[in-house]
Amino acid sequence: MVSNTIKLSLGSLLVLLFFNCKNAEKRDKNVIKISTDTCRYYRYDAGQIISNLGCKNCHLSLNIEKIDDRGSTTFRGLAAMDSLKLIDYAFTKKHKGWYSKSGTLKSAKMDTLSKCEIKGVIRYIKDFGRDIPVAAQ
Amino acid sequence: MENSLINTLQMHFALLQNQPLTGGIVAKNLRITDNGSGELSLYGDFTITLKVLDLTTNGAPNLNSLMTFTQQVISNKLRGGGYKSGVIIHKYNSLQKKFDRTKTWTYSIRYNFNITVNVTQINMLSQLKGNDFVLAVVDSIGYQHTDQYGRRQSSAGLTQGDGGPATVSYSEWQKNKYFGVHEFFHTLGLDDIEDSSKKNRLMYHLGDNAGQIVSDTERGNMLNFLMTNIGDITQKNYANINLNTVTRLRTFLNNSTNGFKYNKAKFR
Repeated sequence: MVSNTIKLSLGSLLVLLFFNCKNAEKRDKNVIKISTDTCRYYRYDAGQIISNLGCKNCHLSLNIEKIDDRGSTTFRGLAAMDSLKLIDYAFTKKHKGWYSKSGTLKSAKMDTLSKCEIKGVIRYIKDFGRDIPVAAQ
Repeated sequence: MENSLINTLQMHFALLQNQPLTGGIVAKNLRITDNGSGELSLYGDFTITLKVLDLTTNGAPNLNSLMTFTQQVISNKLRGGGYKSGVIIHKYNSLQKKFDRTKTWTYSIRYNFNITVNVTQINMLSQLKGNDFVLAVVDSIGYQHTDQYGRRQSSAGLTQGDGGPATVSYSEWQKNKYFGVHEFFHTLGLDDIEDSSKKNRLMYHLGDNAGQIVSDTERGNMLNFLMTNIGDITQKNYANINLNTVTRLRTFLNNSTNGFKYNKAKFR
């Protein structure tokens, strides 16, 4: 009787240890996944992409109304857009195809931006509407 | 849109009366040439005015000296014209002398601007107009930001982006005379640099800055900003649109996140 109780206890302990180890393994995988995400936002780099694409030549970046006197959406107007709409507007529809591989502005190479660069550009545009100041140290 | 229209009307009225125009940017004798091979050359005589508003509690005895220095450096850094390639704008029709808004084109642009820089002190808010550039001198700035290396940094100056009001702490400005220029160049559209391989650049904004170089690209970007809407080059004269400077400066100073300390009695 006593030996059966001991066997049962040891068996239960073994099962518990097994599941405990499996859970710990899952947590480790998550930690590895997080630490390999290297996409970081650098305002200067995002600004350079914006400059190279020439966004501010048409979407005037002065802090004025959302639509300028020519009827074009200003940079502030872009910043007011929902992020997903902005991605669709800028990077999916690609300005009526101008920025696509066969478009008239194919040299701007919008198609070659990585997902991380696109995220950076979107954040740069959204931050413009948040009036985040730039500081000298 | 209404502000822009009013501003345009005011500009034309002042020009008709041969009055000097107030404003951040006033340009005359504008013209554009197209070499037919994708290069546009822009010409014009520009006057840039930066108004300095002393909001310090105990006064700023060295302000004149700092302003003179700032004026000289801005003039020097903007001198010599600029060049920008890969500029995507509407296609220029040289026969009709206007930009065709139904077509876009990629140009190289040569900026041949003669630029005069004025840095003038103002003592009252009433001397500040809607389309002026302003640098407000304050006692201190409490705003802190986190740099790309994850370190917390304090602020000697603070600017609200393209065309926006700039501020500088008087005590910090005395320690580094270039802070006024750095802040104003934010107003002209430049971003801060934190790349440790570029410590010799004026826009490198961390404590171990070791130089004041402005790259050709940065100068091209600032000249591009002076003629923000390139279509304006087809007019003979131009003044920048209303930036709502007074309202924006008030909002900026009153934003508690920015942590400005200044003499509020002077801001009225």
